[in-house]
Amino acid sequence: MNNQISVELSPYAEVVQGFKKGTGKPKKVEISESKKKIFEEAVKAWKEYSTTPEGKMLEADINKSDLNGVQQKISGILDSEAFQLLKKLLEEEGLDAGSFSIGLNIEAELIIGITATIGFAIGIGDNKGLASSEFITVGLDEGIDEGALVGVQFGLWANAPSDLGGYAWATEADGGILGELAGKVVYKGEDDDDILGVTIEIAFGEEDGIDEQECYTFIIGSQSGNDDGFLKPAYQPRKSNFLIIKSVTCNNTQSDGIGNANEVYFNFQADGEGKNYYYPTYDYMSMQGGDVWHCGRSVWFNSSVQVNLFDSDSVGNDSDPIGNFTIHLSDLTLNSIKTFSSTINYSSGLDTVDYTIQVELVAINVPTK
Amino acid sequence: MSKHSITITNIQCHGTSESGHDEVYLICQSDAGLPIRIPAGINVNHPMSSGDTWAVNQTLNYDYEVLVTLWDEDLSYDPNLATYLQSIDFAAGTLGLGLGTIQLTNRNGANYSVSYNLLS
Repeated sequence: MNNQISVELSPYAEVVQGFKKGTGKPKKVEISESKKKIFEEAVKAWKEYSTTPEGKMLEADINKSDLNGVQQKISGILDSEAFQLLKKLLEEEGLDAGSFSIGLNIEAELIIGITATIGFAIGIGDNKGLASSEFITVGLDEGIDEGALVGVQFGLWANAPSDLGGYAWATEADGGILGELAGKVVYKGEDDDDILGVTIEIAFGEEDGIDEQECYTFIIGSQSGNDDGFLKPAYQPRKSNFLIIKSVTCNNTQSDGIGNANEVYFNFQADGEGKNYYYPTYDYMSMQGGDVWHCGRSVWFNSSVQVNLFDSDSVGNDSDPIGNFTIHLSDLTLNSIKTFSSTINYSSGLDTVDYTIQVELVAINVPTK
Repeated sequence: MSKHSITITNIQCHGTSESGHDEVYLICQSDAGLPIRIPAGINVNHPMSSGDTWAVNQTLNYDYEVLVTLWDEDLSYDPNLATYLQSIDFAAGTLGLGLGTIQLTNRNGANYSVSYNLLS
Protein backbone atom coordinates (compact mmCIF):
# COMPACT_ATOMS: atom_id res chain seq x y z
CA MET A 1 0.00 0.00 0.00
CA ASN A 2 1.44 3.34 -1.01
CA ASN A 3 -1.15 6.09 -0.88
CA GLN A 4 1.29 8.83 -1.86
CA ILE A 5 2.28 7.18 -5.14
CA SER A 6 -1.40 6.61 -6.00
CA VAL A 7 -2.11 10.32 -5.46
CA GLU A 8 0.89 11.31 -7.58
CA LEU A 9 -0.16 8.95 -10.38
CA SER A 10 -3.74 10.27 -10.36
CA PRO A 11 -3.23 13.16 -12.82
CA TYR A 12 -1.67 10.74 -15.31
CA ALA A 13 -4.72 8.50 -14.88
CA GLU A 14 -7.05 11.17 -16.27
CA VAL A 15 -5.97 10.13 -19.75
CA VAL A 16 -7.25 6.55 -19.43
CA GLN A 17 -10.87 7.61 -19.06
CA GLY A 18 -11.28 7.81 -22.81
CA PHE A 19 -9.60 4.46 -23.44
CA LYS A 20 -11.15 1.54 -25.28
CA LYS A 21 -10.89 -2.13 -24.45
CA GLY A 22 -9.58 -3.91 -27.53
CA THR A 23 -9.04 -3.59 -31.26
CA GLY A 24 -7.55 -6.90 -32.27
CA LYS A 25 -3.97 -6.05 -33.16
CA PRO A 26 -1.73 -8.82 -34.55
CA LYS A 27 -0.23 -10.91 -31.76
CA LYS A 28 2.55 -12.55 -33.76
CA VAL A 29 5.93 -10.97 -33.60
CA GLU A 30 9.39 -11.95 -34.81
CA ILE A 31 12.18 -11.01 -32.44
CA SER A 32 15.72 -10.70 -33.78
CA GLU A 33 18.53 -12.70 -32.13
CA SER A 34 20.18 -9.52 -30.87
CA LYS A 35 16.98 -8.44 -29.13
CA LYS A 36 16.52 -11.89 -27.62
CA LYS A 37 20.08 -11.75 -26.31
CA ILE A 38 19.43 -8.40 -24.64
CA PHE A 39 16.19 -9.60 -23.04
CA GLU A 40 17.87 -12.81 -21.83
CA GLU A 41 20.64 -10.82 -20.20
CA ALA A 42 18.13 -8.37 -18.70
CA VAL A 43 16.22 -11.22 -17.07
CA LYS A 44 19.43 -12.80 -15.82
CA ALA A 45 20.62 -9.45 -14.42
CA TRP A 46 17.28 -8.85 -12.75
CA LYS A 47 17.39 -12.26 -11.04
CA GLU A 48 20.90 -11.52 -9.78
CA TYR A 49 19.90 -8.02 -8.66
CA SER A 50 16.92 -9.46 -6.76
CA THR A 51 19.26 -11.47 -4.53
CA THR A 52 21.37 -8.43 -3.55
CA PRO A 53 20.56 -6.53 -0.33
CA GLU A 54 19.39 -3.59 -2.48
CA GLY A 55 17.19 -5.82 -4.63
CA LYS A 56 15.64 -7.50 -1.62
CA MET A 57 14.68 -4.11 -0.22
CA LEU A 58 13.19 -2.84 -3.49
CA GLU A 59 9.56 -3.65 -2.78
CA ALA A 60 9.74 -2.20 0.73
CA ASP A 61 11.55 0.90 -0.62
CA ILE A 62 8.99 1.47 -3.37
CA ASN A 63 6.10 1.07 -0.96
CA LYS A 64 7.30 4.06 1.03
CA SER A 65 8.61 6.18 -1.85
CA ASP A 66 7.02 9.09 -3.62
CA LEU A 67 7.11 9.33 -7.41
CA ASN A 68 10.43 11.13 -7.44
CA GLY A 69 11.91 8.47 -5.17
CA VAL A 70 10.73 5.67 -7.47
CA GLN A 71 12.31 7.40 -10.47
CA GLN A 72 15.62 7.79 -8.71
CA LYS A 73 15.51 4.12 -7.72
CA ILE A 74 14.94 2.98 -11.30
CA SER A 75 17.76 4.93 -12.87
CA GLY A 76 20.01 3.59 -10.12
CA ILE A 77 19.15 -0.06 -10.80
CA LEU A 78 20.94 -0.03 -14.17
CA ASP A 79 24.07 1.22 -12.40
CA SER A 80 24.17 -1.76 -10.05
CA GLU A 81 26.81 -4.46 -10.54
CA ALA A 82 24.29 -7.05 -11.78
CA PHE A 83 23.48 -4.98 -14.88
CA GLN A 84 27.02 -4.25 -16.07
CA LEU A 85 27.07 -7.04 -18.69
CA LEU A 86 23.70 -5.88 -20.01
CA LYS A 87 25.05 -2.34 -20.32
CA LYS A 88 27.96 -3.64 -22.38
CA LEU A 89 25.52 -5.42 -24.70
CA LEU A 90 23.50 -2.23 -25.08
CA GLU A 91 26.60 -0.34 -26.15
CA GLU A 92 27.29 -2.68 -29.11
CA GLU A 93 27.22 -1.19 -32.60
CA GLY A 94 24.49 -2.08 -35.08
CA LEU A 95 21.66 -2.97 -32.69
CA ASP A 96 18.27 -3.00 -34.43
CA ALA A 97 16.52 -0.86 -31.81
CA GLY A 98 16.50 2.83 -30.89
CA SER A 99 16.20 2.60 -27.14
CA PHE A 100 16.11 0.26 -24.18
CA SER A 101 13.96 0.81 -21.11
CA ILE A 102 13.56 -0.53 -17.63
CA GLY A 103 10.38 0.21 -15.72
CA LEU A 104 8.58 -0.77 -12.55
CA ASN A 105 4.91 -1.71 -12.89
CA ILE A 106 2.66 -0.29 -10.21
CA GLU A 107 -1.07 -0.76 -9.78
CA ALA A 108 -3.25 1.89 -8.25
CA GLU A 109 -6.93 1.98 -7.37
CA LEU A 110 -8.30 5.45 -8.04
CA ILE A 111 -12.01 4.65 -8.32
CA ILE A 112 -10.93 3.19 -11.65
CA GLY A 113 -7.97 0.84 -11.59
CA ILE A 114 -4.82 1.83 -13.41
CA THR A 115 -1.52 0.21 -14.14
CA ALA A 116 1.47 2.48 -14.44
CA THR A 117 4.98 1.75 -15.63
CA ILE A 118 7.44 4.23 -14.20
CA GLY A 119 10.51 3.89 -16.36
CA PHE A 120 13.85 5.07 -17.62
CA ALA A 121 14.97 4.76 -21.26
CA ILE A 122 18.45 5.05 -22.82
CA GLY A 123 19.45 5.39 -26.45
CA ILE A 124 21.01 2.35 -28.17
CA GLY A 125 21.99 1.40 -31.72
CA ASP A 126 21.95 4.49 -33.92
CA ASN A 127 20.65 6.48 -30.93
CA LYS A 128 23.58 5.58 -28.68
CA GLY A 129 24.69 8.67 -26.80
CA LEU A 130 21.40 10.47 -27.32
CA ALA A 131 19.45 11.86 -24.39
CA SER A 132 17.93 9.43 -21.94
CA SER A 133 14.37 9.96 -20.73
CA GLU A 134 12.14 9.21 -17.80
CA PHE A 135 8.58 8.21 -18.55
CA ILE A 136 5.26 7.12 -17.08
CA THR A 137 3.02 4.81 -19.09
CA VAL A 138 -0.56 4.45 -17.87
CA GLY A 139 -3.29 2.03 -18.86
CA LEU A 140 -6.62 0.80 -17.53
CA ASP A 141 -6.55 -2.18 -15.23
CA GLU A 142 -8.72 -4.00 -12.76
CA GLY A 143 -6.82 -2.28 -9.95
CA ILE A 144 -6.02 -4.67 -7.17
CA ASP A 145 -3.65 -3.02 -4.75
CA GLU A 146 -3.28 0.63 -3.93
CA GLY A 147 0.16 1.72 -5.00
CA ALA A 148 1.52 -1.82 -5.13
CA LEU A 149 4.63 -2.83 -7.04
CA VAL A 150 3.60 -5.74 -9.25
CA GLY A 151 6.49 -6.31 -11.65
CA VAL A 152 9.38 -5.09 -13.73
CA GLN A 153 9.29 -4.37 -17.47
CA PHE A 154 12.13 -4.29 -19.99
CA GLY A 155 11.50 -2.74 -23.39
CA LEU A 156 13.26 -2.43 -26.73
CA TRP A 157 11.88 0.40 -28.82
CA ALA A 158 12.17 1.66 -32.38
CA ASN A 159 12.32 5.31 -31.31
CA ALA A 160 14.78 7.47 -29.43
CA PRO A 161 14.18 7.78 -25.65
CA SER A 162 12.69 11.26 -25.96
CA ASP A 163 10.27 10.08 -28.66
CA LEU A 164 8.42 7.32 -26.80
CA GLY A 165 5.51 9.52 -25.68
CA GLY A 166 1.88 9.44 -26.74
CA TYR A 167 -0.78 6.84 -27.40
CA ALA A 168 0.14 3.22 -27.98
CA TRP A 169 -1.55 -0.14 -28.00
CA ALA A 170 0.02 -3.13 -26.25
CA THR A 171 -0.97 -6.66 -27.23
CA GLU A 172 0.21 -9.78 -25.48
CA ALA A 173 2.51 -11.66 -27.86
CA ASP A 174 1.49 -15.18 -28.84
CA GLY A 175 3.70 -17.70 -27.08
CA GLY A 176 5.58 -15.02 -25.17
CA ILE A 177 8.63 -13.10 -26.26
CA LEU A 178 11.24 -15.09 -24.44
CA GLY A 179 10.29 -18.62 -23.55
CA GLU A 180 7.40 -18.55 -21.13
CA LEU A 181 8.01 -14.97 -20.10
CA ALA A 182 5.04 -12.70 -20.79
CA GLY A 183 5.73 -10.24 -23.54
CA LYS A 184 3.90 -7.52 -25.38
CA VAL A 185 4.04 -6.01 -28.81
CA VAL A 186 3.46 -2.27 -28.60
CA TYR A 187 1.90 -0.56 -31.58
CA LYS A 188 2.03 3.16 -32.21
CA GLY A 189 -1.74 3.54 -31.98
CA GLU A 190 -5.14 2.13 -32.70
CA ASP A 191 -5.01 2.96 -36.40
CA ASP A 192 -1.31 2.41 -36.84
CA ASP A 193 0.20 -1.02 -37.34
CA ASP A 194 3.79 0.19 -37.01
CA ILE A 195 5.47 -1.49 -34.08
CA LEU A 196 6.81 0.91 -31.49
CA GLY A 197 8.53 -1.77 -29.47
CA VAL A 198 8.42 -5.05 -27.62
CA THR A 199 8.45 -5.57 -23.87
CA ILE A 200 8.92 -8.42 -21.46
CA GLU A 201 7.56 -8.39 -17.96
CA ILE A 202 8.58 -10.24 -14.82
CA ALA A 203 5.59 -10.32 -12.49
CA PHE A 204 6.19 -10.33 -8.74
CA GLY A 205 2.94 -12.14 -8.03
CA GLU A 206 0.14 -13.65 -10.02
CA GLU A 207 -0.11 -12.24 -13.53
CA ASP A 208 -3.20 -10.19 -14.22
CA GLY A 209 -3.57 -11.51 -17.77
CA ILE A 210 -4.28 -8.31 -19.71
CA ASP A 211 -4.41 -9.35 -23.37
CA GLU A 212 -4.72 -5.91 -24.92
CA GLN A 213 -4.23 -2.52 -23.42
CA GLU A 214 -4.47 0.99 -24.74
CA CYS A 215 -1.89 3.10 -23.01
CA TYR A 216 -0.39 6.57 -22.99
CA THR A 217 3.21 7.43 -22.26
CA PHE A 218 4.25 10.72 -20.71
CA ILE A 219 7.87 11.69 -21.15
CA ILE A 220 8.41 13.47 -17.88
CA GLY A 221 12.04 14.31 -18.21
CA SER A 222 14.66 14.11 -20.91
CA GLN A 223 17.94 15.79 -21.60
CA SER A 224 16.65 16.91 -25.00
CA GLY A 225 14.09 19.23 -23.43
CA ASN A 226 11.16 17.56 -25.16
CA ASP A 227 9.12 16.70 -22.11
CA ASP A 228 5.60 16.93 -20.76
CA GLY A 229 6.71 18.02 -17.34
CA PHE A 230 5.39 16.70 -14.08
CA LEU A 231 1.66 16.68 -13.62
CA LYS A 232 0.21 17.86 -10.32
CA PRO A 233 -2.41 15.82 -8.49
CA ALA A 234 -5.90 17.15 -7.75
CA TYR A 235 -7.34 13.86 -6.42
CA GLN A 236 -7.35 13.60 -2.65
CA PRO A 237 -8.08 10.40 -0.67
CA ARG A 238 -11.00 10.77 1.73
CA LYS A 239 -10.56 11.82 5.33
CA SER A 240 -13.13 12.37 8.09
CA ASN A 241 -14.16 15.97 7.39
CA PHE A 242 -14.82 17.97 4.26
CA LEU A 243 -14.63 21.71 3.65
CA ILE A 244 -14.82 23.95 0.63
CA ILE A 245 -12.59 26.97 0.11
CA LYS A 246 -15.50 28.90 -1.34
CA SER A 247 -13.70 32.06 -2.36
CA VAL A 248 -10.64 34.24 -2.17
CA THR A 249 -11.22 37.97 -1.65
CA CYS A 250 -8.65 40.55 -2.68
CA ASN A 251 -8.91 43.67 -0.53
CA ASN A 252 -5.58 45.05 -1.67
CA THR A 253 -2.99 43.65 -4.08
CA GLN A 254 0.70 43.33 -3.63
CA SER A 255 2.66 45.67 -5.87
CA ASP A 256 4.77 43.46 -8.08
CA GLY A 257 5.85 45.93 -10.72
CA ILE A 258 3.90 44.27 -13.53
CA GLY A 259 0.50 45.97 -13.48
CA ASN A 260 -2.24 46.38 -10.91
CA ALA A 261 -3.28 42.73 -10.73
CA ASN A 262 -1.83 39.84 -8.75
CA GLU A 263 -1.58 36.45 -10.42
CA VAL A 264 -3.13 34.45 -7.61
CA TYR A 265 -3.00 30.74 -6.81
CA PHE A 266 -2.94 28.80 -3.57
CA ASN A 267 -1.72 25.51 -2.25
CA PHE A 268 -3.02 23.54 0.68
CA GLN A 269 -2.03 20.66 2.88
CA ALA A 270 -4.35 18.73 5.18
CA ASP A 271 -3.22 17.66 8.65
CA GLY A 272 0.41 18.41 7.87
CA GLU A 273 0.68 15.23 5.77
CA GLY A 274 1.69 14.51 2.19
CA LYS A 275 2.50 16.99 -0.52
CA ASN A 276 0.80 20.26 -1.32
CA TYR A 277 -2.19 20.44 -3.65
CA TYR A 278 -2.53 23.49 -5.89
CA TYR A 279 -5.50 25.47 -7.16
CA PRO A 280 -5.74 26.30 -9.92
CA THR A 281 -3.74 23.12 -10.42
CA TYR A 282 -1.74 25.10 -13.01
CA ASP A 283 -1.68 28.79 -13.92
CA TYR A 284 -3.39 31.47 -11.79
CA MET A 285 -6.35 33.82 -11.41
CA SER A 286 -5.75 37.53 -11.99
CA MET A 287 -7.12 39.61 -9.11
CA GLN A 288 -7.35 43.28 -8.27
CA GLY A 289 -8.60 45.03 -5.13
CA GLY A 290 -12.29 44.33 -4.65
CA ASP A 291 -12.27 41.10 -6.67
CA VAL A 292 -13.80 37.91 -5.31
CA TRP A 293 -12.66 34.65 -6.88
CA HIS A 294 -15.25 31.92 -6.34
CA CYS A 295 -12.67 29.14 -6.58
CA GLY A 296 -14.66 26.35 -4.87
CA ARG A 297 -11.80 23.91 -4.18
CA SER A 298 -12.78 21.22 -1.66
CA VAL A 299 -10.49 19.61 0.90
CA TRP A 300 -10.66 16.40 2.95
CA PHE A 301 -9.08 16.74 6.39
CA ASN A 302 -9.13 15.36 9.91
CA SER A 303 -8.18 18.28 12.09
CA SER A 304 -6.53 21.14 10.18
CA VAL A 305 -5.78 22.61 6.77
CA GLN A 306 -2.94 24.97 5.92
CA VAL A 307 -3.62 27.25 2.93
CA ASN A 308 -0.87 29.38 1.39
CA LEU A 309 -1.73 32.09 -1.13
CA PHE A 310 0.80 33.26 -3.73
CA ASP A 311 1.29 35.89 -6.39
CA SER A 312 2.83 34.16 -9.39
CA ASP A 313 5.59 36.37 -10.71
CA SER A 314 6.13 35.51 -14.35
CA VAL A 315 9.00 37.98 -14.61
CA GLY A 316 11.20 36.27 -12.08
CA ASN A 317 9.71 32.79 -12.51
CA ASP A 318 9.10 32.85 -8.81
CA SER A 319 6.14 33.37 -6.51
CA ASP A 320 5.60 35.79 -3.65
CA PRO A 321 3.56 34.74 -0.61
CA ILE A 322 0.52 36.98 -0.08
CA GLY A 323 -1.55 35.02 2.43
CA ASN A 324 -1.16 32.33 5.08
CA PHE A 325 -4.27 30.74 6.56
CA THR A 326 -4.54 28.01 9.17
CA ILE A 327 -7.93 26.36 9.48
CA HIS A 328 -8.76 24.14 12.44
CA LEU A 329 -11.86 21.99 12.63
CA SER A 330 -12.69 23.74 15.90
CA ASP A 331 -12.82 27.11 14.03
CA LEU A 332 -15.68 25.93 11.85
CA THR A 333 -19.41 25.32 12.21
CA LEU A 334 -21.14 22.83 9.95
CA ASN A 335 -22.83 24.43 6.94
CA SER A 336 -21.73 27.97 7.68
CA ILE A 337 -19.13 30.09 5.96
CA LYS A 338 -16.27 31.59 7.95
CA THR A 339 -13.81 34.23 6.74
CA PHE A 340 -10.13 33.73 7.55
CA SER A 341 -7.53 36.51 7.51
CA SER A 342 -3.86 35.92 6.89
CA THR A 343 -1.88 34.94 9.96
CA ILE A 344 1.18 36.65 8.45
CA ASN A 345 1.18 40.30 7.40
CA TYR A 346 2.90 40.51 4.03
CA SER A 347 2.54 44.32 3.80
CA SER A 348 5.72 46.28 3.37
CA GLY A 349 5.91 50.06 3.82
CA LEU A 350 3.06 51.62 1.85
CA ASP A 351 2.42 48.35 0.03
CA THR A 352 -0.59 46.94 1.87
CA VAL A 353 -1.34 43.33 0.99
CA ASP A 354 -4.71 42.05 2.15
CA TYR A 355 -6.43 38.86 1.11
CA THR A 356 -9.03 36.78 2.94
CA ILE A 357 -10.49 33.36 2.22
CA GLN A 358 -14.01 32.14 2.87
CA VAL A 359 -14.41 28.54 4.03
CA GLU A 360 -17.47 26.34 4.55
CA LEU A 361 -17.48 23.10 6.52
CA VAL A 362 -19.85 20.83 4.59
CA ALA A 363 -19.44 17.39 6.21
CA ILE A 364 -18.05 15.87 9.39
CA ASN A 365 -17.34 12.32 10.54
CA VAL A 366 -17.65 10.92 7.04
CA PRO A 367 -16.87 7.20 6.79
CA THR A 368 -13.85 6.76 4.54
CA LYS A 369 -14.61 4.48 1.59
CA MET B 1 -24.60 5.74 -5.18
CA SER B 2 -24.07 9.49 -5.23
CA LYS B 3 -26.63 11.77 -3.62
CA HIS B 4 -26.78 14.40 -6.35
CA SER B 5 -26.59 14.68 -10.14
CA ILE B 6 -26.16 17.65 -12.40
CA THR B 7 -25.94 17.83 -16.18
CA ILE B 8 -23.69 20.44 -17.74
CA THR B 9 -25.86 21.14 -20.76
CA ASN B 10 -23.83 23.69 -22.68
CA ILE B 11 -21.13 26.31 -22.48
CA GLN B 12 -21.34 29.61 -24.30
CA CYS B 13 -18.37 31.77 -25.12
CA HIS B 14 -18.75 35.55 -24.87
CA GLY B 15 -15.03 36.33 -24.84
CA THR B 16 -11.74 34.44 -25.08
CA SER B 17 -8.53 34.54 -23.07
CA GLU B 18 -6.45 35.00 -26.20
CA SER B 19 -6.93 36.39 -29.68
CA GLY B 20 -8.86 34.06 -31.95
CA HIS B 21 -10.24 31.19 -29.95
CA ASP B 22 -9.70 29.24 -26.76
CA GLU B 23 -9.14 25.47 -27.00
CA VAL B 24 -11.54 24.66 -24.19
CA TYR B 25 -11.69 21.54 -22.05
CA LEU B 26 -13.22 20.88 -18.67
CA ILE B 27 -11.83 19.20 -15.60
CA CYS B 28 -14.69 18.06 -13.37
CA GLN B 29 -13.91 16.88 -9.86
CA SER B 30 -16.59 15.45 -7.58
CA ASP B 31 -15.93 15.56 -3.83
CA ALA B 32 -12.16 16.05 -4.40
CA GLY B 33 -12.06 12.67 -6.17
CA LEU B 34 -10.48 11.62 -9.44
CA PRO B 35 -11.02 14.39 -12.01
CA ILE B 36 -12.86 13.70 -15.25
CA ARG B 37 -11.65 15.39 -18.40
CA ILE B 38 -14.19 16.56 -21.03
CA PRO B 39 -13.66 15.89 -23.91
CA ALA B 40 -12.21 12.63 -22.62
CA GLY B 41 -9.37 12.17 -25.12
CA ILE B 42 -6.01 13.68 -24.48
CA ASN B 43 -5.10 16.43 -26.97
CA VAL B 44 -8.82 16.80 -27.64
CA ASN B 45 -10.51 20.11 -26.93
CA HIS B 46 -13.39 22.26 -28.10
CA PRO B 47 -12.22 25.41 -29.92
CA MET B 48 -14.48 28.33 -28.96
CA SER B 49 -14.75 31.91 -30.16
CA SER B 50 -17.12 34.60 -28.94
CA GLY B 51 -20.66 33.59 -29.87
CA ASP B 52 -19.93 29.85 -29.95
CA THR B 53 -21.95 27.31 -27.99
CA TRP B 54 -20.61 23.91 -26.97
CA ALA B 55 -23.29 21.27 -26.29
CA VAL B 56 -21.54 19.42 -23.48
CA ASN B 57 -24.42 17.29 -22.12
CA GLN B 58 -22.35 15.57 -19.47
CA THR B 59 -23.95 14.40 -16.22
CA LEU B 60 -21.85 14.53 -13.06
CA ASN B 61 -22.62 12.72 -9.81
CA TYR B 62 -21.53 13.89 -6.37
CA ASP B 63 -22.28 13.74 -2.67
CA TYR B 64 -21.24 17.25 -1.57
CA GLU B 65 -19.98 19.25 -4.54
CA VAL B 66 -18.54 19.06 -8.00
CA LEU B 67 -15.94 21.57 -9.15
CA VAL B 68 -15.98 22.31 -12.88
CA THR B 69 -12.85 24.08 -14.12
CA LEU B 70 -12.62 25.53 -17.63
CA TRP B 71 -9.17 25.40 -19.23
CA ASP B 72 -7.66 26.67 -22.44
CA GLU B 73 -5.28 24.04 -23.83
CA ASP B 74 -2.25 25.73 -25.33
CA LEU B 75 0.05 24.21 -27.92
CA SER B 76 0.23 20.58 -26.86
CA TYR B 77 -0.86 18.22 -24.16
CA ASP B 78 0.83 19.62 -21.11
CA PRO B 79 -1.42 21.02 -18.40
CA ASN B 80 1.58 22.99 -17.14
CA LEU B 81 1.07 25.22 -20.19
CA ALA B 82 -2.74 25.44 -19.97
CA THR B 83 -4.52 28.70 -19.17
CA TYR B 84 -7.01 28.76 -16.31
CA LEU B 85 -10.23 30.30 -17.60
CA GLN B 86 -12.55 30.05 -14.60
CA SER B 87 -14.38 27.59 -12.40
CA ILE B 88 -17.77 26.93 -10.88
CA ASP B 89 -18.38 24.79 -7.82
CA PHE B 90 -21.81 23.20 -7.71
CA ALA B 91 -22.31 22.57 -4.00
CA ALA B 92 -25.27 20.63 -2.63
CA GLY B 93 -28.05 22.86 -1.37
CA THR B 94 -26.89 26.05 -3.04
CA LEU B 95 -28.99 25.84 -6.23
CA GLY B 96 -32.60 24.91 -6.94
CA LEU B 97 -33.49 21.91 -9.04
CA GLY B 98 -33.83 22.45 -12.77
CA LEU B 99 -32.18 24.66 -15.35
CA GLY B 100 -29.82 27.52 -14.71
CA THR B 101 -26.93 29.50 -16.17
CA ILE B 102 -23.90 30.97 -14.45
CA GLN B 103 -21.57 33.49 -16.07
CA LEU B 104 -17.85 33.33 -15.40
CA THR B 105 -15.35 36.04 -16.23
CA ASN B 106 -11.61 36.43 -15.93
CA ARG B 107 -9.42 39.51 -16.29
CA ASN B 108 -7.56 37.68 -19.07
CA GLY B 109 -10.65 38.20 -21.27
CA ALA B 110 -12.32 34.84 -20.77
CA ASN B 111 -16.09 35.24 -20.52
CA TYR B 112 -18.15 32.07 -20.51
CA SER B 113 -21.64 30.99 -19.46
CA VAL B 114 -22.16 27.50 -18.06
CA SER B 115 -25.70 26.16 -18.38
CA TYR B 116 -26.80 23.25 -16.23
CA ASN B 117 -29.74 21.12 -15.22
CA LEU B 118 -29.67 20.15 -11.55
CA LEU B 119 -31.35 16.74 -11.55
CA SER B 120 -31.24 15.78 -7.88
